[in-house]
Amino acid sequence: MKASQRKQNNKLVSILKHLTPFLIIIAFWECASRLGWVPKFILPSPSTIIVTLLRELFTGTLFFSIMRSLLILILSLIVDLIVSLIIILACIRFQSFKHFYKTIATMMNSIPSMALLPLIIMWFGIGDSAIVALVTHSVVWTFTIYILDGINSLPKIYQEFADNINLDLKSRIKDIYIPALLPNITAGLKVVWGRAWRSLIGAEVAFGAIGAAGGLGYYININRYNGDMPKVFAGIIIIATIGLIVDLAIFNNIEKKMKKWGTLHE
Amino acid sequence: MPEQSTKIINSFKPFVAVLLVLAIVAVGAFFIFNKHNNKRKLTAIYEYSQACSVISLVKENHLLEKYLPDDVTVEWTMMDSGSDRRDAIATDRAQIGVIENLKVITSLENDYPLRILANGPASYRGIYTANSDINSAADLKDKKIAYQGTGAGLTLKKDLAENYHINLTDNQLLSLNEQQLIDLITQNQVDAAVMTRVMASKALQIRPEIKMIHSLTEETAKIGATYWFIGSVSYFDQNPDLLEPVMKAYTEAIETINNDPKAVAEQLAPLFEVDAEIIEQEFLDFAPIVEVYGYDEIAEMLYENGELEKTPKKFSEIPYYESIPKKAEQ
Repeated sequence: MKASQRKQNNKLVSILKHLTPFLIIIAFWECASRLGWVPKFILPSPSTIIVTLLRELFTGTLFFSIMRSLLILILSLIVDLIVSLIIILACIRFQSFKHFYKTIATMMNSIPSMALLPLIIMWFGIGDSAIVALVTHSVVWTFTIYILDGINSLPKIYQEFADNINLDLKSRIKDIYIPALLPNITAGLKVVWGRAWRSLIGAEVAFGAIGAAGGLGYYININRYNGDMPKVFAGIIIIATIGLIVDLAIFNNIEKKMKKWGTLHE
Repeated sequence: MPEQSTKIINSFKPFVAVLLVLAIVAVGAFFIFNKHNNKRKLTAIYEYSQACSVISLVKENHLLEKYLPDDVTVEWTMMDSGSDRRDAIATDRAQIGVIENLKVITSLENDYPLRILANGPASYRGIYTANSDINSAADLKDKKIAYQGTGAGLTLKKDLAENYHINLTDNQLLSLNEQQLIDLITQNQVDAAVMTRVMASKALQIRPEIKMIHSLTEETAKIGATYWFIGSVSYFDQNPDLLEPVMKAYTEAIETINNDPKAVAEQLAPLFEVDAEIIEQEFLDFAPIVEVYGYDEIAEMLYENGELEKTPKKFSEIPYYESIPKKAEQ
């Protein structure tokens, strides 16, 4: 009992330690807003933002904006994973393609998505396909490089063993590469998720600025257009919260399981 | 617990010290700079478009410099986004500019520190398309339509609903600035667009096949002037002596336009990159006036369309109402 109580107390202390700086900032912010130190139209008070967020979530358009963003994100990630898989298979099968692709990928990876926006609009218009294209650009180059580097760093003995027993490509991928590359795949997906989410929101804001409807980025832009800063902040908080939830609920759990299986080393 | 709190506080100390030093350096630099700079500055926002035709003339004829005292330097900055102009004036990074009146009302409802100084220009609007399959407004069902400004959007929705029983959805409508709108209609990214004569003229230079399929003049006339001349609250509170010279400059520009619209059109045509006749026709159709009108009707329309969540303030309740030039009935 005592040990478990102590454990609980320690957990509570740890949570308080993490929360205290945030609570201090929020308290100071609330006072600053109420005392008029900062104009409300620039920085609304935390209480106003929270009330607006809850109201918008349950009765406003915020919930639909969240769903739309997540839907486009899932669609984008499906497209990206398929494209990445095709590229990786081609690189495994054809060495000359791999060298060519790595050069291209390194160059393309350094181009921010927004720099490609004028081209994307010309080629894909201003709808969802353009947003998917922008997210794909942010994701595919990074993820494929991650995996290809992982394959390169596999112990030679794995490749030699596969050669010795004449393992075909499909079996190599299923029985050797995927289990050996699980840590790379997980790490790659974590990085890719972050890039995809940021690119998606950025694209929605940019497209929102050119009037295309939909998603959290558009929600923020349209409310900025109307001068409704509490809603802008509500949108930003939701974006950050979704990022945190996905990180904690999905990737942290995957990493814990990976440690359990011994595929991740401390 | 106290030991842990001390650890947390101690870990923040170097960070706070760095912040304090930076703040002292910044404040010192600010005061040193300001000490050498006794002149007042007025930043005016402009754009070479019909919406900003009056203020463009103020700029070209150096009217602010004519009326403002010698200790005021005038700086002109171009901004094509209404939201950017509004934010710049509200935060006093600029002091005067022209903003779409519906945006002014929504901003005032959200306590933005803006003051209405005078009326702004209105423009003829029509629905244009480059799409050969669209020959009248009746063909716009399920089509993507671009527009500039909330007023144009509301006019479009109302007109199509009343006259053609077409209820446009948010997914069909794109709100853009002038250049974006011209780019998208000339690239066939939208099926149709609501444009002023000036915008349409620019678009026709790129795609001569663009045609007008419907006029929105009647609906636009009901809303009245679509832009208002706006000033920064804090700037004019601190410099009340500058309000009269600014208003004199603006009023003279309006009088110049009304006295000789042809000459003004010829002066502005190369800047707007359109034919002078088009600009002149706009001035003849919608002669600019100083007096503000239609505030309550427009606010009510915004509220009925869901653009405002609560009952809007009356015109007589907005800040600085007494100083706004008004039509007799208001």
